[in-house]
Amino acid sequence: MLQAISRWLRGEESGISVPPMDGVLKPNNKLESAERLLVLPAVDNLATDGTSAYCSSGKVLYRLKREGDLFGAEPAGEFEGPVTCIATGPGRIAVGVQGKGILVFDGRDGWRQHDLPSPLSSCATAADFCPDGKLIVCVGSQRNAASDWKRDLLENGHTGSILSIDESGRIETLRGALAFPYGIIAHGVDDFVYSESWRYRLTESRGSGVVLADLPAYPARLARAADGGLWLSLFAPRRQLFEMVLREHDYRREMMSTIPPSDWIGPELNSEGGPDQPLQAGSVRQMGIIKPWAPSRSYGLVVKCNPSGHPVASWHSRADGTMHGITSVLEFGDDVLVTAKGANTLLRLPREAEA
Amino acid sequence: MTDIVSFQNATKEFRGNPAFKNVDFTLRKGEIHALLGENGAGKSTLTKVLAGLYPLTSGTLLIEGVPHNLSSPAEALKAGIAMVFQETNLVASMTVAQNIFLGEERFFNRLRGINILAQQHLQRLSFHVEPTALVSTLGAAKKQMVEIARAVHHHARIFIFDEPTATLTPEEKHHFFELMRRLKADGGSIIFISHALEEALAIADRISILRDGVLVATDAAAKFTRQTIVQAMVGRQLTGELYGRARHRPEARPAGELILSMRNVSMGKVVRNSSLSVFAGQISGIFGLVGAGRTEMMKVAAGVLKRDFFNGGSIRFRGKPVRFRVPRDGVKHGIAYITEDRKLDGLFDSMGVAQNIYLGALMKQANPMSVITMRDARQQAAKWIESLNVRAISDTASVIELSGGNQQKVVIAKSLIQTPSLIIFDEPTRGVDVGAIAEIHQMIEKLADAGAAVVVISSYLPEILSLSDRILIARQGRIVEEMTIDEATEEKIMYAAVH
Repeated sequence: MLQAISRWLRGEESGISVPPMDGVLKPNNKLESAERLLVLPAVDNLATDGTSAYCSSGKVLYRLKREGDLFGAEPAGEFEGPVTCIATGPGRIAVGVQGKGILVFDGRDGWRQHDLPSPLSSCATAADFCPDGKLIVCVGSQRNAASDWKRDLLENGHTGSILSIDESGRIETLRGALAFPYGIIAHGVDDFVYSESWRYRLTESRGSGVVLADLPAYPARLARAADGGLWLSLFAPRRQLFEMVLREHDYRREMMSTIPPSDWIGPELNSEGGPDQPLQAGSVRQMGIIKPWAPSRSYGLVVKCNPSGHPVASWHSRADGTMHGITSVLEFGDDVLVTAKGANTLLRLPREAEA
Repeated sequence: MTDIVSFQNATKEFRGNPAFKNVDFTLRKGEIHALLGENGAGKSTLTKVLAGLYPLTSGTLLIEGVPHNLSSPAEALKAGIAMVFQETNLVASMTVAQNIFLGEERFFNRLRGINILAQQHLQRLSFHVEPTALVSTLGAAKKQMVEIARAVHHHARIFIFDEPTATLTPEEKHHFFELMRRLKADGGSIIFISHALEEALAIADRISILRDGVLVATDAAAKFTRQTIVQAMVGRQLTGELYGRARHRPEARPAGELILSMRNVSMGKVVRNSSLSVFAGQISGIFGLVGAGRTEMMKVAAGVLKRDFFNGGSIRFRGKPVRFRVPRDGVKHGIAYITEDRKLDGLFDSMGVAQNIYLGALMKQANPMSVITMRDARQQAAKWIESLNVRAISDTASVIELSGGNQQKVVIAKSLIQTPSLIIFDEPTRGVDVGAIAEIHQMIEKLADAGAAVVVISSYLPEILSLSDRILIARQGRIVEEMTIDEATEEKIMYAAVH
């Protein structure tokens, strides 16, 4: 009650609420019916240089091979830590490796490492090359590694930043105090769009600022669309339960100090639905079937936005589905590829996605 | 069948203006007679004469062959005539039982006895209404049931139902029609006024059609079709089906900017953790059965009702959190709520058309010290009277003298003068004639085309299907389903609304 009064005095909302998924974001099962191309453990980021597509899976970078209508994957590199992001430019590939920083391959000297200062080296979440050759990197957090994103969320993390790295390795901070930047499309060092997961929004560096605010799920990586719009992947849903946990600071601190991280209440990349997570199915499991509207901890969501940033279409995998934890989406030729990290699956959206 | 009621060359005038003239109308014993016509055609006045509310200006009223000049509803009731009004005539502060037995109280009144008798009476009619409930707590449908129960209790032989089904759910309608058939089987005679033509065709034995105060047709219901009725009512061939899906717009409008976002909103037991979004440039239709909480949801959004203070969710208007304490706050933000009950909440009966419309403008006026002149009021209102085609003798005519359709246009004008960006229409065509329905629909479409965010709450499925770009379905205090216009059918919507 005291907390509620104090919130009221500070002009904050007393109720805990999350935005609805309706309108263009109306739930469907299109991700469930999408074609499942490959199964790769913890398949994560996608990128293309125009001729080849790449995806990361754990410590390995794969090149995707297309033969007719079929896709295959061949290793293009293996690293000392998990690959946390990929970016491709003309003749260059950059990867973020947890604990190592950024490695760039330009075809001449093999993989060249750009040492990031130690707090920044473990959480490069997304990257993109500018037309002038600079690499723009999203660093999700200075305190936690990329794989420890849930801890960063529960710590109300806002130590993320956006850096630019030129070919000589000089680093410049473009934005700071960000709440887990997790996706970027760079048109230049002063012209980029990025997603901030813990603030549920997309922001552009110039112009009007916020492009999309108050999203109903945590945004991850962005990708360019052929029509000038963008693709947005969202890796986990916002739920009233999580919002409550994020607001109740004492409760959250005690939970984090006394319970193993795997049992923390918060968003997940996939739903195991174990009996030790009674709210996993939101008490709407009936006759052994999880109802699709259950407030599950994980979800699958891809959103297509038009050039002015308005969502125009969405693809979902609901509580009763499995294609959850979407971390990346990529338009590659005629195909739209999607990584469901929670389901270890590379998906191809139906053809209507290109319309 | 013998005639139980007969109007012969009957005329009723108000200040020289005829409401109906030279009407020869008969009601036979044991028949259901549907009386149809546009609002303002004179059908309500005709039945009000029969109910003892107005005397005839000229002509004769025969009841069972005997001339009558009924001077009060009590006298009409003695003659066996009971009227169930479109807007119910119950005492809101009394219980259901007290209302049924109103006027029959004994010196020492035992409430328990009344409650038991009322319970038995309601059960006999298959009405699920609690006899001890206060009428003020009942929804429109249940009020209607109490009104019917009261009429049946008074042993009426002639029943007049004025738009009885407008607020009933399909299931309740089914019960109501069953009740009408039972009344008929027991020898009762029924005059049934409705704008739902399908209902008239389905239930009535005979149909009479009034147009501009003149009886233009009377015949067996089987001889009419929907098209011939509409033609007779409006005196013109409508160019298309009134409720056909957007003749000129086969596809839904795309969603524009997010205007209203209601998130986990709760208000008592009526609205429960309900979430919905409304977008600019679109018509969002909300369908739900009576008691689904759809009206209350939108009233909360507009500031007419307050959501729960604690854990009542949040409302964002154009991305900013808002909590309106009074409707005026909502109006200032650009939200207009057009009430479903225009007589209670929408109009000042005794004021003129222009005054009523200008009141809407005053609500948004920034400076409370500004001077108000009637000239200004009339000038501002004139634009809306013209654009909405409000038909009144003059702009100073009291709104109570207007037909239902024109009253509704005044209520709409009162809101549109505020230049809102979100307009919520709650049952926009309830108790409105066919011609005015088309005009109101056209105006709603125009608003959406102009980029406004429009919400239409309706209990009438064809209306929802014809107007909406997206359809939200409310059940038990929350939005349970959303359908695009391509996937929506009457069956699917109804299934979502009841399951």
